[in-house]
Amino acid sequence: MLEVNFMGSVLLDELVNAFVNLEEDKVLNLVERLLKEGVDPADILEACRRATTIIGERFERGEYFLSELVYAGEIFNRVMEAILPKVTREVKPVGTIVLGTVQGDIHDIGKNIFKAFAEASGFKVIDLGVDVPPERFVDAIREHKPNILGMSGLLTFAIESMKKTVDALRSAGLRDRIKVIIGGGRVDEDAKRYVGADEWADQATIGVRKCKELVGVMVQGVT
Amino acid sequence: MSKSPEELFKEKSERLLKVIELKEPDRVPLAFFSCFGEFIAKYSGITVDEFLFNYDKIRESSVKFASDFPHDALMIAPGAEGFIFSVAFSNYPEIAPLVRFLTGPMHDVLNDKYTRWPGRELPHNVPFQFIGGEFMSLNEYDKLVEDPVEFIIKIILPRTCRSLEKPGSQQAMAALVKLGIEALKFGGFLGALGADLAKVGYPSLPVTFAYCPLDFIGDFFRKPTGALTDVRRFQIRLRLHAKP
Repeated sequence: MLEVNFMGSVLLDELVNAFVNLEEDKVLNLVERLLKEGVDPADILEACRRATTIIGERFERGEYFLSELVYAGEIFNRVMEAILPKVTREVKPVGTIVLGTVQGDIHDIGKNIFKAFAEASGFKVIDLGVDVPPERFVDAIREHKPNILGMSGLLTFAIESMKKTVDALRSAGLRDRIKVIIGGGRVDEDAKRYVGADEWADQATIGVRKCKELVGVMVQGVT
Repeated sequence: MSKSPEELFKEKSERLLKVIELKEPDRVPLAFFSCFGEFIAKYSGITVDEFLFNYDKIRESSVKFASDFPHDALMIAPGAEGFIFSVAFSNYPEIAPLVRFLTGPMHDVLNDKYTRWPGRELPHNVPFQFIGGEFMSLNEYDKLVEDPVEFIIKIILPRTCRSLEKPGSQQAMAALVKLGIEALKFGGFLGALGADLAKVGYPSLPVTFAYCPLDFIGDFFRKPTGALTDVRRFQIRLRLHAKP
């Protein structure tokens, strides 16, 4: 058993490296081998979390660009496809996020990167897609009772829709029950205040970090 | 304001020219660029779709906006990215610039899948949307590179424009003629708008738009995320000749 565990941990480190270097085929091969070795899918997810954290740091340092984040998101989604059927015990998520691009806006590259990175960090994400009207957000919040509402948008116009959505939450008596984060190229401290959100982020990786803070997860330093 | 439109025109032109020549102007010029026309439409009491589909209304409301909010240059480009149409007609330099932007009326003619418009696929008072999509498979890159114009005309446009679905059909021929008529109307409108604005003291700001090959692939063939990951995942060499 020890050999298997040792082998597993070597492979997990290899997985992190391959993921960080965006070697898609190698990542998928390693995941397959790890599952054959009997490694817990939760450990594979943890390796993905380590990898995406490092990728996020490389992005923030200007070593990786948008295309690397998009690609990392796609690799993560393929890893999830491979391991989901093998997950036998429910892993408790660090938090639940209802996510969507707000009404009138259809830009979803940032939202999708955020989603993949948030899932890799242990969040359960309910993605409502694009052009989501306030009432759909409200319904989803009633149904899923998330910790966080994440609203995304690229257009200046989207800020209005974010505000309308927060207003709708207030009318529904739900605003105080959840944290609200807005994301996108046009958001900043002023937009946050105007919208009535709790946090904002103009980078997906920063958004994930802020979500962790919002649910009180210790943000681990990774070299 | 006591200055005449001629004086204002001269003053604004000089200010803009100084900046273009990297000299110091009397003050920082302020130019507006609008392609959705949301604010201008709202301010003039019309809907966004009225603005985007009616050139006379664009002219009226733009002059009102320029007169009521003094600034230095107003650029109105009421159209979505239509660079693929310019490439399709790139061997006809007298046509290519006319179809550089895809306007609302051109969308009506082509019934393209690239864009969605207010009062058509969208509510009346929202901006148009460039949706794009995946219209080319991975193994077609070589064909695109080999002869972009032929590939676009014969393969891509029939896939992306419902009116051009069957090349050589009556419907497709009529759509191309109508596209030409709309393109001429659009050109005439741009000239008339320039003249309208000059009458209230606004010069036209000379601008041009360039396109990067990877953007072109992302917007019109493979979606932006597809273009980005193709480069990594399949080591696609984007050997498109970037000739104008």
